[in-house]
Amino acid sequence: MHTSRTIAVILGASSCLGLLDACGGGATPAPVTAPLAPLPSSASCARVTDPSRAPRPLTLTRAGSTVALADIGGKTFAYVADEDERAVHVIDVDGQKDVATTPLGGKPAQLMFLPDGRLVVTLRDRAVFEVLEPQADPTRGLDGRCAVGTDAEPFGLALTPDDAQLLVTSGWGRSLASYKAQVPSMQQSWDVALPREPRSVIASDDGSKAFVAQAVGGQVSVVDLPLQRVVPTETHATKENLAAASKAGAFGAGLSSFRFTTFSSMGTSCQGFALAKTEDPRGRVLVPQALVDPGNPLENTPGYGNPENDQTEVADVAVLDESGGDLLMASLEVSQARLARSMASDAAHAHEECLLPRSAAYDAKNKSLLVGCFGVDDVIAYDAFAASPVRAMKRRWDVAAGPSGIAVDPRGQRAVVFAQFERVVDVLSLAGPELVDDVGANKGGPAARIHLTETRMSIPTSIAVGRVLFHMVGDDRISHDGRACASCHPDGRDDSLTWATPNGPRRTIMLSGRINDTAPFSWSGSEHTLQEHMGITFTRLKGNGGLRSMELDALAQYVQTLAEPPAVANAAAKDRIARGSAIFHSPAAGCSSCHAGPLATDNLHHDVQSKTTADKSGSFNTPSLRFVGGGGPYFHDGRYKTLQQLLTDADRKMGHTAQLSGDDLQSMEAYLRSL
Amino acid sequence: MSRSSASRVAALSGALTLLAAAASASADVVAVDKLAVLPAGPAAAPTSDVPASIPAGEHVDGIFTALAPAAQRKQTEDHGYRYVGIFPTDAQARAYATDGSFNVLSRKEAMPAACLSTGGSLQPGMRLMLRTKPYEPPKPSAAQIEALKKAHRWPPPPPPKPSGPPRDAVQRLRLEKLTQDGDTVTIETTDAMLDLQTMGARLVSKSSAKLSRVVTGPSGLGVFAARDDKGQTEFLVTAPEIPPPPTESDRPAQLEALSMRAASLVAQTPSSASSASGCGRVRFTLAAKAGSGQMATVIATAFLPPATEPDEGPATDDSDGDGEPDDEGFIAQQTSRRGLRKQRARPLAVNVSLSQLASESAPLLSVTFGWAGKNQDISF
Repeated sequence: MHTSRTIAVILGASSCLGLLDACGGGATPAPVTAPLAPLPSSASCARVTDPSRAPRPLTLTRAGSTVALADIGGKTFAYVADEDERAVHVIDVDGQKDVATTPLGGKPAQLMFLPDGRLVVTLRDRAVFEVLEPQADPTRGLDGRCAVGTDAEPFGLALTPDDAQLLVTSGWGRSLASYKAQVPSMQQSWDVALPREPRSVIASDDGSKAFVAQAVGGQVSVVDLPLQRVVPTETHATKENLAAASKAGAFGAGLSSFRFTTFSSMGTSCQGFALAKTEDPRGRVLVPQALVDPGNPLENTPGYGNPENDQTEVADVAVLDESGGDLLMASLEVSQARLARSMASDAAHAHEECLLPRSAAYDAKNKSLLVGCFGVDDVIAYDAFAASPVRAMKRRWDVAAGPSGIAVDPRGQRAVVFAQFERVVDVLSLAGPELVDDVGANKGGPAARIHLTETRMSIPTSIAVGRVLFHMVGDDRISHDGRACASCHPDGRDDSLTWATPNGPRRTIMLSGRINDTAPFSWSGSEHTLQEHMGITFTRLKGNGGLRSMELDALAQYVQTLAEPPAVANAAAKDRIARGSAIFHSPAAGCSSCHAGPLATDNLHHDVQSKTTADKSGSFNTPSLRFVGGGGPYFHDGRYKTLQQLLTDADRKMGHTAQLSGDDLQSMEAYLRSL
Repeated sequence: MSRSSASRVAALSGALTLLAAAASASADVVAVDKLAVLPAGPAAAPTSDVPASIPAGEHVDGIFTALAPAAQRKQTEDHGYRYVGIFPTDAQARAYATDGSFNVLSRKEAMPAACLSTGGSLQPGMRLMLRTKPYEPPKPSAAQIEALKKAHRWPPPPPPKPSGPPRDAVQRLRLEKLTQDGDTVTIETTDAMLDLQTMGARLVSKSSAKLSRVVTGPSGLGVFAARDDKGQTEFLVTAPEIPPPPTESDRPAQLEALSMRAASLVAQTPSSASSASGCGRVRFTLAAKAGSGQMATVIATAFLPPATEPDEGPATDDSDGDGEPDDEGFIAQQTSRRGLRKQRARPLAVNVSLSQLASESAPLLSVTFGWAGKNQDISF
């Protein structure tokens, strides 16, 4: 378990926090370039300097990450998106030195090189991507060129193989947009709506499709680029895909007993943040994820999830066919780890699964999928061509906490990993035999570790500690089966699932921006402090509850300061929102009698006739409606899939909406989405 | 590690030719396209009906049966059953008949060439139980009888009378003999019936399959494959080699300590069955067609160089050079004189995958190795 080491590192570095001195590893301060002034959207994104003198992308991945590599004078430099410092760092990988920092105007999510050496960065909290131009002298950082507006919370980046379309996902905005990458304005061509919480995106080799990882919802969105049509592909076993595979007579169609599903539940999938695709042969899209079994919501269970499963979440890598988007069902067979453990009587590995995959890259030399895993803080090499890659783990490296990005340097046969939580760049050797005889340890470590210099306020130490604890996988104090807080609350939000619990069905509640001043907590409203609520949650997860009060406080502080989802700009709907607000607050509708105040909750219990057979009580704590438009499904048991359904079907159980016209209902929905 | 691990990705065409070779081949890996010229195919399953009995005079080459000495059998026979020892060599059967010894793993060879199974795990020798008297349940105590009476379940109905000899006296048996010639292995399979009552054996069928090496793993562990004409690929994973002992005189004790560990393989196959082997090799079949895939995982043991220097012991000066002790006492004596030797071992997962996306023209074969547990020291 890394917790204590990571926390020690963070605490050790805390004396530097907030100072303009160099921190971590005693590195010499890197030159800081002037903060980029807000870039006008009207500015040209075109390259200014001679491309022949510019840093050359070392590998044109055409996919975003938090780290991208460039060749400058025969040396490898890494450009790293540091969301804590809101900056791009330039790292001399060969010299193991942070050589420049360029502060940005927002929190970078991913960056990616264009073929001519320009760098595109999504700014998650500013609804723009920026186009930057690295200087020929890497110590001079980057120059800004333009900022292009996006939907709320731009995240993933990809480029089509013809370099014509820049694809950008928007997490909170739920969209994929295409921008003209080869025109100076980089204007938007089109956008399509996606399901909740899209993250990384990659384009198929023939340029006909984009694959979008979804952090929640159990699917990958396959977007037909010429038609701009979205086809959701389930990345877990369903009755439909099992039947189809069986009908096709497919061997290994996920029908063996090794698959994750149980007799009472098919389960689902979650944690789709990263993607990679194979080369030589091409055509396999690899989706690191976790398979989840939340149990039957209409049964009372001892904890959260299906009691038939001793491990409610397991690591998986779904394999999709790039040409058709079809799921290889055998990639859902995941039991190798458990088999190996049982055969080798090796309980020590029991909780080291990659339940929070956050980064991925393809290692062409070894034909491996590299996955960066939060919580266990490892990079794991899987066989990219195995029917179920997660069953064919070849190697794992112990890296610093929070490996949010991986880039492969084929020239040096190494991987460059950015670990956000410790603000460290780890360099992993991919050379030599893949099965390393790592005597005395279960994992290998990095060949080199480069600490980022810190040039301005990052995040407070207690919050940094809380973040590590929030993502800690395999900590027996929190859960018995390895689950972390982030397992059900990816990015501090919610997994969109309804879990079977001792008290009945419980829809996971979104945390970000919805904790402060909303006590009591949980649907039952029985816990009056966050620490109390966390204690009950850990008990249900069968954790042994050994977190120290300082750690509980740090965890609570992290949860309370989770970044709110960004506002969704919708000026056109201003009048409609105002109309919806008026209806919402009218006595006739009766919504605001419970959903009152700025947080849209009275923090009291009400019975809205929603009790199910498994519920021990019909009275529930009024949930805050903040950010309700980005959530769903709704109610404590997730019975309403959409806001529209909630508004029409809950009539007389909760407020009165039957009298409203269709236009008024739309206004109500627009108002709710603005909260 | 004496040999590097290797990851092989090969595309198998209809003729099993290699379309894409991996970059990380180890030196002793044979190109997979050799498989294309090998006549191959899994052994046919026996189809004969099971006879009621087989005369004692019938015999099948390579299958030897024996009973332990009467004194040793007495205890079990008093309880109504006895064990029949079945071996692939006459010497093993004779040893069992002479003193009941069941040393199926030789101190001279790390892995047996011939092994047996009754449909489950492959073993270098086995003892099968034969009931000699009808089963008699233990007599209930007075208290139990009283309870049964209250439940109106006393006296119990009389047990049915046995009609003829026990029906499980005739068993199916498979003998597998492996010979290796470079990077090709030949498995000769003999399917037979064995009457445990008469100890007569009857041949059902014989077949032969050749498989060629796909890859060599750590400790010389081998993965061999051959494709049949029904779209299935048969695999054979062979056990790791036991490394050379520190001195030749250590060899018997080393084999004693390590051979069983080395010979033990467990395979998780797509049929959801776990197939165990104590014979140093395990076979399984994978199939893939467009849009599907199958995987098998074999857990074996890799023997690794010492992490620290082995315990120093007194030098041995009385070895005759052949390293063949004649009894357990000699090994114990040797151990006592030279001090404990240690061999580092680590559980190893061999993952074999065959998969084919709908857009791919042929299945992809991939074999990888990964650790499945922690380092352990085995003393001898």
